Amino acid sequence: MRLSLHVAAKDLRAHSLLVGAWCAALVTDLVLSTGWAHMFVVTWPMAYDLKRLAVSLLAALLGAFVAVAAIHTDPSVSTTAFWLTRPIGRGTLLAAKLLVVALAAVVPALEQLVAAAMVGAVATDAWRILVEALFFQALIVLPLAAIAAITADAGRYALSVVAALAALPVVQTIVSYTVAGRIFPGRPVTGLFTAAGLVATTSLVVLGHQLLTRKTRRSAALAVVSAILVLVAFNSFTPAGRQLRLPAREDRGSVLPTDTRPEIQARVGAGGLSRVPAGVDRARVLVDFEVTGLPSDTVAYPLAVRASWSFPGGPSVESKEIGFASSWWTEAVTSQPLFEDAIGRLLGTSMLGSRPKSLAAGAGFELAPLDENRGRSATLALDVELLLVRLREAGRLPLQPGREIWAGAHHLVALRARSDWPGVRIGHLRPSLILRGGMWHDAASGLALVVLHKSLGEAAVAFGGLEEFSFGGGLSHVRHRTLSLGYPAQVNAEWLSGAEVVAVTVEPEETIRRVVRIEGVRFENVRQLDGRGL
Amino acid sequence: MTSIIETERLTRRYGRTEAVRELTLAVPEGSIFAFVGPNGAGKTTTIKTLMNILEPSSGRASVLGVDSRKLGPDQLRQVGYVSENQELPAWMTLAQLTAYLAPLYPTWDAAFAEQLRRQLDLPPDRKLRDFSRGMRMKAALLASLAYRPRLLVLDEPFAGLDALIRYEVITGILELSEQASWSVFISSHDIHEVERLADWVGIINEGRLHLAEPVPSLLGRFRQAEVSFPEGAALPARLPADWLNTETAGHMLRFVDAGASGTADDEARIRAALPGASNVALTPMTLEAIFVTLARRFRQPAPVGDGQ
Repeated sequence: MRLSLHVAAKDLRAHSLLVGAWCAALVTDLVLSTGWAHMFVVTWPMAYDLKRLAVSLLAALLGAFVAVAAIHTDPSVSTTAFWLTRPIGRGTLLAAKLLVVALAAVVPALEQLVAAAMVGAVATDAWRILVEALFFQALIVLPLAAIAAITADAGRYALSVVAALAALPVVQTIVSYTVAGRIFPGRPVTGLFTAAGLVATTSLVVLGHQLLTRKTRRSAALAVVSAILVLVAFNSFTPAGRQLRLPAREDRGSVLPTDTRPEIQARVGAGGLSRVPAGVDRARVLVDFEVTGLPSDTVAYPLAVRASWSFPGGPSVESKEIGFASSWWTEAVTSQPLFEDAIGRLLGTSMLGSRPKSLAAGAGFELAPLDENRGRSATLALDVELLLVRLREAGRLPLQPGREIWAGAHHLVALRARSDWPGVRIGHLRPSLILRGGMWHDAASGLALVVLHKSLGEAAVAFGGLEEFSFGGGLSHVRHRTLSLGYPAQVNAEWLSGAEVVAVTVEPEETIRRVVRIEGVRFENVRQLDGRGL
Repeated sequence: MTSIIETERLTRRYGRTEAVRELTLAVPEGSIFAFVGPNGAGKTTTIKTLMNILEPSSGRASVLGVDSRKLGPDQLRQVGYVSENQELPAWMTLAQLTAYLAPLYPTWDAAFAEQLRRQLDLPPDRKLRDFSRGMRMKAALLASLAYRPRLLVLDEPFAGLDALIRYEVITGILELSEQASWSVFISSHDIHEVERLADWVGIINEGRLHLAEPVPSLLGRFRQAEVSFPEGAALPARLPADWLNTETAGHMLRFVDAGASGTADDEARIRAALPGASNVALTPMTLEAIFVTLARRFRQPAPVGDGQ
């Protein structure tokens, strides 16, 4: 270990300029992440956001490049490298490089932790911030480090990264339409963590294999196979690619009142059947759901649906893809009429939730078996899993610049309010992103923001006002956000002067699962969108 | 006599090209072994295989009694390696380089390193990237000598060096050889460069080892021969196989006798092979002349045969 530290220290000295730039980016990020920047934000908000994003990305990438440069300092691909004939064991070298890789992941995480502490994050959120930041930084650093291990110099490295970036979408497309569904047909959603974990693991395997064996071709083959495995797993476990599922929670009883009996009704929706995308022999059935029997402050969100189309006497066609109409379900939440309806009820305004109150979900099938059974009456069985979330008002922020509130672990600062774009601007200091709500039941919740004129009883939906439930922004836990105000209130300067931002926490409570059958579904019953006769 | 380096039918291929072909070699401990051959003969590939930089395609090699594939830190602490191809950490100064290397070697002798630095006239605080080629080679030599290795492997250490620096390096190695009990394995495409150093010579061409023997033995075995004939005398149809580079000019036959013993028997043997010879003159050859003879022979279609 002593020698590994010695080699790692040498690597950092070798790239002292890069390390210095990285540290500068981290410090800048820290400064911009804290409340010190509020004055600047008031005068120049757009530039601030751009700069903030650029600095965050720069800090993350520079950290990764430090790791890459350290690996290239003692290249394992070369036959002329200095270290090869020096008494440095391959294990020692691997440990030294992993130390720098770890540093590139840990330091930004610590910076995020310090930033969160400086803006008043509570101690219980500290580990979440740390793990979350580590997670994201590792996802950047590890694959880049693995590619560095199998390339000899910066030129080849850059080419390899470009080639990988170009190849991944191609492989992804091939995998998603060929291999994935066959290997894990109909598997439920298990979370992005599976794929992310695979990325980290396979990157470490490639890195370790190359540094320990110096068999570059095998390592490169391992990297390619690993990338395909990751994509297969990603597409199999997360068909929509980005859905989450709550873990089982047998340890807790249901939070629903005992007299609550949530029920689900479903019908083939207005979207009908479509082929998606053109040129691929897949069909997607769009189904509308209505959930009844829930408490007024509880909203159902779709997690997953597994579907089968059974013709009497066969065949039975299982869905190849599962997922809801909006694959990124936070989008579904944002535009979700049910959600608005529930907020409207919570805030005592009838101006929200006036739109239809159904959920839409899609189930993908192979087109050919459906086409062969055209006109036959069938049963469409849908195994539906819903997440129930509860809304609670957490605080109200008057729209005077400089006013601030705490809403749970969220610190909100009013910065600017304009009736024209960009609407209402607030500083939102958020201590954690992914490690809450949907992933850990005791974690902090998501946050919805609504602009409410209490005396008029009017509310304006604040687009961009709902926190992502899970993998959002990624690199930043502190944001300055612009709430663009939409329907239904007619917002003007006078309206805004009497308005306030209401923070509503969105807490996932539990999942429910129901099987719904729709009888008498015929192929002709559904609408076909791409012009081909069905 | 124990061998510090041994190879047995060592072969290394790059695709379909055999860079080293069934090379069998033993380097006695304590010797200064010159591994000589033209450019592209397979010297560097052999050395990289010995140093576990490359793996053998077949056959085996051992260094310090350990299979080259298993050569690890324990062995490398006893081996110094200097190569024209080796990439030094150019961002370091010489002082930083020695500070980095010292903890890697339990036997690192800082005073000796400083003595070498003065002897080789190297500035401690200038970055290696600002060194001339000759200075970098001397820095590499310093970095490979300061821990008093048991085996020093030098791969074309003099390539591109001017005469003065070459002289300094050779002198340095010779002086150290008098003080230290070490073995030196030095490759070169020019035997003249290593003539002063070597007590053993191995000659490699197109991946094959053609000879490996002590220098005195080699010098004793090769003689430049000039034989006169009376007018009208005919040469035999087949000449002995160890007569190399035969040339006739008028009544004179010139060749290199690679089977000489350094005694009067040599002349008798030649006269027996050439019954009409009127005059036989045998002259000792320099190592360089022997190498040139063999190099010319390599270019001819028929191989010289196994000279070992």
